[in-house]
Amino acid sequence: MGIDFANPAMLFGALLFGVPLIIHLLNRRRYQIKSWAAMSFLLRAYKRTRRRLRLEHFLLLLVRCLIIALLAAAMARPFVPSDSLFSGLSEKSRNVIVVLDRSYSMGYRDGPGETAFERAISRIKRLVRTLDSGRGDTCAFMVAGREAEFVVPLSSLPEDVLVKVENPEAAPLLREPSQGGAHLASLAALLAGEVADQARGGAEVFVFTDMQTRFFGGAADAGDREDSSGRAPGGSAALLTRAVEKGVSVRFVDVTDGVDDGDSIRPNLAVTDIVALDQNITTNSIASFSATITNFGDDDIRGLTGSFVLDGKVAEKRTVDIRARGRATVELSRSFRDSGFHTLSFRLASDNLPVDDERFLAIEARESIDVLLVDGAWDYDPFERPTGVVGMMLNPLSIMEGGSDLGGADPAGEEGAEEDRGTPAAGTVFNPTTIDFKLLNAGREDPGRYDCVFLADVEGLSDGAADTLFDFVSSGGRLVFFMGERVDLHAWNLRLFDDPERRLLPARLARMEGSASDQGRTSFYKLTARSFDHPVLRVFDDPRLKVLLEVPVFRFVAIELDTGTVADADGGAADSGTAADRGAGADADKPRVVARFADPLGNSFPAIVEQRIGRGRVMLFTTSADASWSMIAESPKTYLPLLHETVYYLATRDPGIYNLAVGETITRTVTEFPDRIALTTPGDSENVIAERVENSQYGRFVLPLQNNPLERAGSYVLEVDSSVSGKRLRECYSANVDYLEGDLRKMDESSLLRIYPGVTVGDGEGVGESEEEGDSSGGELWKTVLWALLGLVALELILSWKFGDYS
Amino acid sequence: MENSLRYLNPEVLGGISRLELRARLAVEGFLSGRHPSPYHGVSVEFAEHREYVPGDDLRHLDWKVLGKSDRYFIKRYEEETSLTCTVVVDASASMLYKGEKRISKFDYAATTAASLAYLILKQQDFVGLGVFDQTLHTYVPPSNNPAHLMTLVESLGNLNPSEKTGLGPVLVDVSSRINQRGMVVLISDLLDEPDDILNGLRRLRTKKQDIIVFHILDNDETDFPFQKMYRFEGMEDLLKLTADPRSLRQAYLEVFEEHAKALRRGCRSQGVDYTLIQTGQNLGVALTAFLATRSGSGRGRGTGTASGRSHGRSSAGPRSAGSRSAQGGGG
Repeated sequence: MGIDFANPAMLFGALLFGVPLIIHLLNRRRYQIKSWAAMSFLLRAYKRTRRRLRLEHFLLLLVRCLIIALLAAAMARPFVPSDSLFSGLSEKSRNVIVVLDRSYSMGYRDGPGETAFERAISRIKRLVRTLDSGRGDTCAFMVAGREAEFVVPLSSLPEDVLVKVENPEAAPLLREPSQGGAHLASLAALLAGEVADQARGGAEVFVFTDMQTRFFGGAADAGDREDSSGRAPGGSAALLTRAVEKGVSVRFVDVTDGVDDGDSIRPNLAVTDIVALDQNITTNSIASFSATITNFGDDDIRGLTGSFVLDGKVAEKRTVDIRARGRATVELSRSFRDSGFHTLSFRLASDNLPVDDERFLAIEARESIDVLLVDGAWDYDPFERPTGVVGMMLNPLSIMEGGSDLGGADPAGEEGAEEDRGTPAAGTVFNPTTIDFKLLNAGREDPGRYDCVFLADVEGLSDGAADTLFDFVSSGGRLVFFMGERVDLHAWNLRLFDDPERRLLPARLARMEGSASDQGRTSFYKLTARSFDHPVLRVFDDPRLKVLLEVPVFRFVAIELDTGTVADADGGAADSGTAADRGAGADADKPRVVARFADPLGNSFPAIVEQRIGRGRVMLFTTSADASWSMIAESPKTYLPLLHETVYYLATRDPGIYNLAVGETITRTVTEFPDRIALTTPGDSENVIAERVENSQYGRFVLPLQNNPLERAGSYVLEVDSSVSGKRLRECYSANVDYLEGDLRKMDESSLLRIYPGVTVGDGEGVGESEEEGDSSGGELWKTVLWALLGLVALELILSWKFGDYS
Repeated sequence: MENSLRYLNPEVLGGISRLELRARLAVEGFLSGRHPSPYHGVSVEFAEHREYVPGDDLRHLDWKVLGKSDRYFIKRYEEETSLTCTVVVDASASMLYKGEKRISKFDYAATTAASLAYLILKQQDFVGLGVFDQTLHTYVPPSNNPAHLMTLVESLGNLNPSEKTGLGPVLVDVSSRINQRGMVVLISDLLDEPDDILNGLRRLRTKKQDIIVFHILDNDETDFPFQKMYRFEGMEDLLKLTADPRSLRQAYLEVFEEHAKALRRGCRSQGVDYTLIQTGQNLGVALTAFLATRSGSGRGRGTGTASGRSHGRSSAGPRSAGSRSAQGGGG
């Protein structure tokens, strides 16, 4: 009901109102003495004017004090709410904040007509033109995308907004809708915070939107999902209510213009998914792909034609029927002759919302799955090496060929420990390479060149090797630990476990259990698993292969699992590979026990433990890779499928690395200094990245791509040239829109008003043209105060002149 | 002596030396001179006709008129005589006020007095001096001896003004010392009650004195131009007043104007020649202008009400006699 101030601190300036009084008193003390003859005249004049002079002085002082007090009050920007007694004195200026929904659904074109976005822009122009800066109206402009942001800041002139709206060149954000979504939550937070705090005199917020359900929380926004009471719990509703309570009126303006009246839904078809059905795609195999088409409309669609486009060329066409609000799936099988990256998309004929009519997939077809076997005990005879059996199981020919290459190698010397990398034998995709662990410790081998790294019976790792492996895993590498008699548990724990920031081991290595000596082999352990859902064990679900559970294990390393953090999904039921590949779950970074060793007394010990670290994954086998601790390695029927499934599972690339959402950025590290980095966007425009390359520790370079988000859906090509090796790294990435934005269902008005009490909804016609709009919020008194101030200054001049204060 | 001589300013004296101070009223003197005498006797200057009444001297009968009109008229003649002037100078403390770059009111008044005395003595008339503050503490009897000028100047130079003004009693005192018609020149800032001043002047008028009042004021006192804060301390008393002159100026000027107006009106009503002179004015110019104006006004144009001042000649017919004219009897 009273007066409030936008800058109350300025009111302290009113304390200066005593300054004129002090000046007056000081002036009275500063005088000169004058001997005067006509004192009788002077005294008579004084007596005659004494009362008048006192009154005049009092009036002048009062006026001067008031001038200072009013000046302070004006600087404090007083304002009154509309129901205040002083509202009649307030300036009926408007503080308007225009918000434009920039989600890609605003690009929906109604037949040959204009898009909702274009309609919103024209209505915003109309609204802003009704504002008058001369009256003190202010205007701000925000866009609501993934995050709400100001295009024109608060308290700007309406003309500033018009310049942006009428000249899209001046505001790239207003040229077209984004290819991302928009959420009310971020906007509501801004309205309840910065906007409500700054617009103390009240503000009118007009949100120009297509009223899409998703914008208001929809299904994808758990924070705003309606609960049983119909209120958005703790999300946008609370924030909007807070903003409304602070004097911000929020009005949602529906720019769909009656095209969708709530009962009928604007038809839209979208490609909502495209995936590879095979985990690893190699040049020697046939890969299958699947695309999903969703009909978001109310009508069945028959004979819909779409095309698989591979590397820019139409590969195959498909025709499907889709029910109303239903889905259809189409598949493509294709073998790749050339290794490297390929781009695949499924494309529908363009409809009213073209941006979701095509979806992209980046595919890497590999010639082989490269595996690095790091040996803890090098030997000329491959079969004497701890990794010898592993290499043979993965690719027998390569071991044999590699063995001849290593004939003159020095087992203890670094020269003898050269890699024996070969080509995969026909019929296998695995390409193992064996090195001595000293090469890794010396930093002479780059794990980044391999899909998977095995460490077997390695005594210990250097700091550099541990860090190299950590970076390798963090950026998506796969690492497998096998134990052995040479393993120094203390050294392993020190380098690979004790530092929680750079921890590679899923658990602390406690002690070695059992005996591998001939005498000790009287007692043994057997592998157990509660289920065979884990990709590594899935193959053993076949009764013919259940022999894995019968193979004795004599010795292993007992580990200390933190029961508080380990999700003990024994058997890996909850930690299936597919679940892991789908993305980071709630417990994605916790160690999981895949299988255990059990003794005849019923005691069990973790046998296979898996953990996600960064974008990569480690797997710890607590027994040896060779036959020294168990008979698994001597059982090809068991060991071969176990190793193959393990490598195949681990080598599977996280599709999220190369297939991103619009707005995300590519994260990539390389081992050689990148002399030139170029990112080719869907429009075939090459963008050379000029930012400085950050050198991470141990010779890895982080590509500076953080300022180049993938703003448009499509295929991107990243090329990195290095003068060190003269090689060019070429990778493809895809960016896809959030398909849920293609669901154009609108939030009906009654639901919206129930969830967000205090807001209003309109169709946008006549927005801001009625006087009542301006009266809805309070007004500032500053103009009235300034006029009063001006009047007082004039009065002071007149009084001073009249009273003879000025000659 | 040298200090006293500063009142004889050659510039002023040079400016007024070609002029003369003439009495507007009839004055009584021992010698023939240029001033009108109240006595109508044998003189070269015809004054008027008057009807014969029994007892008139037949020697003054105008036979020509009798022959032409068969009526009896007596011829009357003006008698001119010497002037006795008393210059009364205010030497109260208030006369010491002087504005910036100006001389004090007393110095200005003393110079005026000396200049007039010089002029009167140059006319071979008699001049005396009275100096007063609360009382008439110095009185130099009139004399027409040229050496008398130095006596007057020395009297002025030996003064040290320090007392309050008491103009009314002083004028009464002066009037009591004058026994014959003459002229009184009052030179003062007149910072006293107008009624007292006018009463004193009235007493002088009753003594048939032709009175000239020089109201000497500093420009500060007439314009009150001060801008800064001042504490005004009285020169004749212990009164003090701290005030912003700007806010008092209007009222002060009103009070001053009322005072001056009362004096002007009172002087006019008594036939007193009143002249306000600011010390910022050039005295020579001011005196010259005054004397020229007084000479130009001539006889019959004086400020007084006495009919005996009417000296205009009639070219046709006998003049009517003034009620207070004395019949010429001087030879």
